[in-house]
Amino acid sequence: MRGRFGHAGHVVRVALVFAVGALAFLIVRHALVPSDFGKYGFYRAGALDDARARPIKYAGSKACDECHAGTYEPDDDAKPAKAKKDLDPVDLLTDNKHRQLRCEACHGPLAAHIDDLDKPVAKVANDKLCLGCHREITGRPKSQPQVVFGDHGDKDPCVSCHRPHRPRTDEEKG
Amino acid sequence: MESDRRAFLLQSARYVLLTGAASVAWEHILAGAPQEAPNYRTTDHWWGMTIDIDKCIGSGNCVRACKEENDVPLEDGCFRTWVERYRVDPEHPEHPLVDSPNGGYDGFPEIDNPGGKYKTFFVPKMCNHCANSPCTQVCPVGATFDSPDGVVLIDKSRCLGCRYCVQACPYGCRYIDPRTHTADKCTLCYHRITKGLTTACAEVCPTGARQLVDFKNPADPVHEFMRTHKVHVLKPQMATGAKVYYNALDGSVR
Repeated sequence: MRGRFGHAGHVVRVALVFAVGALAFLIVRHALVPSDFGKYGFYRAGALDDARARPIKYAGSKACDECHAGTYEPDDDAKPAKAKKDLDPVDLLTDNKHRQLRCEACHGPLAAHIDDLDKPVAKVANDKLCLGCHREITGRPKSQPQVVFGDHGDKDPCVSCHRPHRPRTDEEKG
Repeated sequence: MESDRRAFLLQSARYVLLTGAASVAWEHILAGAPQEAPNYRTTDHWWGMTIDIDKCIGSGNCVRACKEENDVPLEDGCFRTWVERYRVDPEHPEHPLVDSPNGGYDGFPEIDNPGGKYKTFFVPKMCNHCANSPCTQVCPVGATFDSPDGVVLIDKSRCLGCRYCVQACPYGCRYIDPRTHTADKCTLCYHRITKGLTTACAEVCPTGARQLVDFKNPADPVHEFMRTHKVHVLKPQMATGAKVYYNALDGSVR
């Protein structure tokens, strides 16, 4: 003789199955979803710190200015004496067509040099570098000084007339 | 003595009023450079970029520096920024000739422009760090997101490589990293801008055509720039809220 709730066993069994399923879902979800997921939005908050953690390769011109502010080349005491001969200090800030260039635009990434000052800054001046900006090609705005290599300067290296840190030649300065 | 007392009171007032982190940042905020404060707060910034087409000379410096700084694969097709050259026939501006050999990484070869009859210019492209970015909306696992300071980033540890975002971006700014088979893109050099540096591409741009801007910084020259220049974003009809503003953008640019 069953009681009034004699068939409740069926309901309890179904409820148990749901309860176990819900528990399993919560356990799996807890294991798979990072604890900081959703803190700021539908993403893992720690991803912001991951994105910040990359090493820096281009140090930025402010770092260069700490030692080399304003003038370059001969002022650098770390340079070998022979590199200094016949060179005036180059004033980067006045009367200089290249003053808006930041160091790493030509020298490449220098964070390694900032970290360890014994690591030298490579001399990079060569015709390919100069022509990267100054070769006459379709598309380049007229305001940019451009040359056809060979027509201008008889295929002599650019640096035979122009010093990269102050490119106007002595004649041009008048 | 008087000035000592005043300094002491000012300092005390600052600590009481701006307790903790804010007082450390205060001198940088006064100097008009809050991004240099040691305690970077995402809510204080809203990053974007301005690109002046008239100044771009197609040197490819930005493309090379970006790949170097961010360890982007050298394979063709993997670019966080690239430069396109447009050659537009003034009589058929809707059909421009566009070339971008290796994204401009190796510079640009000469192309035909008989008698200078075409309009030609360079257009640097990059992620527009959209405020309503379609690429983040389609990500099924929350691997890509808009950061609170307005940068669209990727969590590589969660990306499945499903490529939805690559298809969703109307600007073609995403690629699949062939080494990890996950999506990747421009981070606006998040590791640099959160430490007071500019992006690698802007750092090496020889003419200053690219400028990193912080719209929440009242001292940023961008506010003056936006007032005094005719700026435009790419594909405004897509309503993406793009935050890369171009000066002198030609109507033929897609």
